Amino acid sequence: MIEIDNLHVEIDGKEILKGLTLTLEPGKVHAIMGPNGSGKSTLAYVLAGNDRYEVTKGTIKFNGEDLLEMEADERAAAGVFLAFQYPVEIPGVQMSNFLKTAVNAVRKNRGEEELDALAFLKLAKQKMKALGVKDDMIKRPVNVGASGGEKKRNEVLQMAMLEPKFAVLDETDSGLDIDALKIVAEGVNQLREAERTFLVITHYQRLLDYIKPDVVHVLADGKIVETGGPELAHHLEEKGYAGFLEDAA
Amino acid sequence: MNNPKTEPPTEPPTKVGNIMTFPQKTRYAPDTVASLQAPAQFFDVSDGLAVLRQEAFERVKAQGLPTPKLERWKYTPLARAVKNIEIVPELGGDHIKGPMQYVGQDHNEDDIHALLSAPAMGAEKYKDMALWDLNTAYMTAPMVISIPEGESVDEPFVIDYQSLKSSFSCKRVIFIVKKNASATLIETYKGAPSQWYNHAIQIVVEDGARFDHICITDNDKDAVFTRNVHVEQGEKSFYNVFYFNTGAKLSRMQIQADVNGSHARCDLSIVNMLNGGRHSDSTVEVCHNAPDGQSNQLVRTVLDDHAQGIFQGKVYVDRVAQRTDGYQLANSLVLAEGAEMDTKPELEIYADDVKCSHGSTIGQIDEEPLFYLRSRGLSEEQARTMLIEAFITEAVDTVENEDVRTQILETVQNWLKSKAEA
Repeated sequence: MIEIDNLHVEIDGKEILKGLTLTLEPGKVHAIMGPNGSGKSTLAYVLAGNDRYEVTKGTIKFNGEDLLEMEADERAAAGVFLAFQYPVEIPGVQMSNFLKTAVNAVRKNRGEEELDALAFLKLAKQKMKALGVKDDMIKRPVNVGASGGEKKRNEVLQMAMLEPKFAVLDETDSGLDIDALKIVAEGVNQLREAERTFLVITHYQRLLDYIKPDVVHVLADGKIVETGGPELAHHLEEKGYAGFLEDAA
Repeated sequence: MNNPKTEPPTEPPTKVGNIMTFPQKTRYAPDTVASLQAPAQFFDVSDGLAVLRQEAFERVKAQGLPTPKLERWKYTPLARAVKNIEIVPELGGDHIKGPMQYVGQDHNEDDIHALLSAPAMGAEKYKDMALWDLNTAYMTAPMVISIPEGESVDEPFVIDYQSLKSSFSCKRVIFIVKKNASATLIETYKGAPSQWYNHAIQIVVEDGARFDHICITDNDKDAVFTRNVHVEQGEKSFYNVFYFNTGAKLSRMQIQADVNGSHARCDLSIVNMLNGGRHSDSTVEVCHNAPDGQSNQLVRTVLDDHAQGIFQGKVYVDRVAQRTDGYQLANSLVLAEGAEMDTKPELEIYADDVKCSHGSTIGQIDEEPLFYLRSRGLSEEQARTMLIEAFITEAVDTVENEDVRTQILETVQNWLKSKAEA
């Protein structure tokens, strides 16, 4: 259960989120849709703990704990995961080294036994196969020279390896062709389970044809202005955001 | 701080046209070596070097050591750093392992004598004469390694300076790779007790030859380290050198490569990892004196605490060196506010058909990858360590010998660990 209450967030002195209130149920897929500049990505970064964003007011509770008190890595250990809209390229860091360190850091924090090189590789290979990720990717530097589709698939792979309780997908559909979109969506769907909450942030309805949301929220001008079922996404696709923008203003 | 009472009298600069000329005197500090005792025992040895030594000694004693008023020494106050070090001739033999049949064999005495006298001949290409002279005057018998024509020696030569015992060490190494031959030399300095090393290395890579050269320097923080290297390259030769250096109280590595044959290639990678109050100055000059040459310089420096790093890198392209392809890149990663990096890339080009580029960056750890790693569960320390390692990886990867690469990565790990514990 994630409870966001009256969240105000600034970046470089400019207020982006202006009193956002939202409750996410365990085991459910929530979608957030909204026009450009409404604060979707800001919400994603704040949830993951990027300290460039300053929370000036409000609270976020993650299973009763104060999420805002935790550092980014503590949140990851607690089970928060953000699939980046723009996954970062890190030359010189080999994917396998990065992923193994990440998996073991999280496992250690959860009081689980760390994986040795062999066990890690076995697990990674299995997940990569399921996601159609090429074998050599694990030997390459993180995201360097990867296509948009490969990067997004790589994000889902990391999610599958880290097994979060709460996954935020920030515009995972952007820059993907329809085939890549299907593969990524399939990867996410495989991870749906009773205790895992998803927050799918998207600009378009398209992704939601493949990852079926339980609840849809509309974010406009830094606030949630509407909440409904999957039909709300279709409504937005037809009518656009215009009506909501006027309400928010 | 300057104390007017102890400053030697300064002559005023003279002006010729628009150029100000400062008197030579202030650029050297004769008083630092005024009390030098002649290494008399070396002057009587009948190894044919007595005159060479004596002349070198007289020169350095008369002129003194360079001061920061000399442009090349702006960031490296040598004279001050060595003030209280006792300069006495070093004892002890060689510390070399490897295919010993090539050591001290198959070379022409006249050639060696010519090489040993080259710096003293005032050849313009030998910069920092004072250090060459000091080395010549005080060197024990020079170590000569010579690879005969056409021979490929796979087993690397390893010189370990760890067991040096004297306060002042002057080693001279001459490495000759004859036509179409190839060899590898690995030199390691690791916390040896000398207070001042003033080593000099002369390398000749003849036509079609290849020389792989690795130097791992992990000196004591109180050591003074000066190392002059001169390389001469023939046609279609390849000189490939990698330096790993953790700095010292004062560290100056001076590398000059004269690419004298056409179609030759000179690759140089340097990794500096400096913490505490350590200093490291890499002064590099690649001179293309023949056409169709290629050179690559890659320098990565990591600085922590209040360390100071210096890179002065020059690519010189002679009028005849058409179609030279010269590349130089120096990146520095500054981890602490008190650290300082000075980079001075220089291109001096007299040919009109060349491809030369250089770049230099000084920055901190990027926030974006740092957040990315932390969002995956890595602690700040883990993420930083990973990004520091990544920063130097490209340079370390130029080392082909796997054992050596492992050795370097271990030194890197130790460095990072000591940083984490500090």
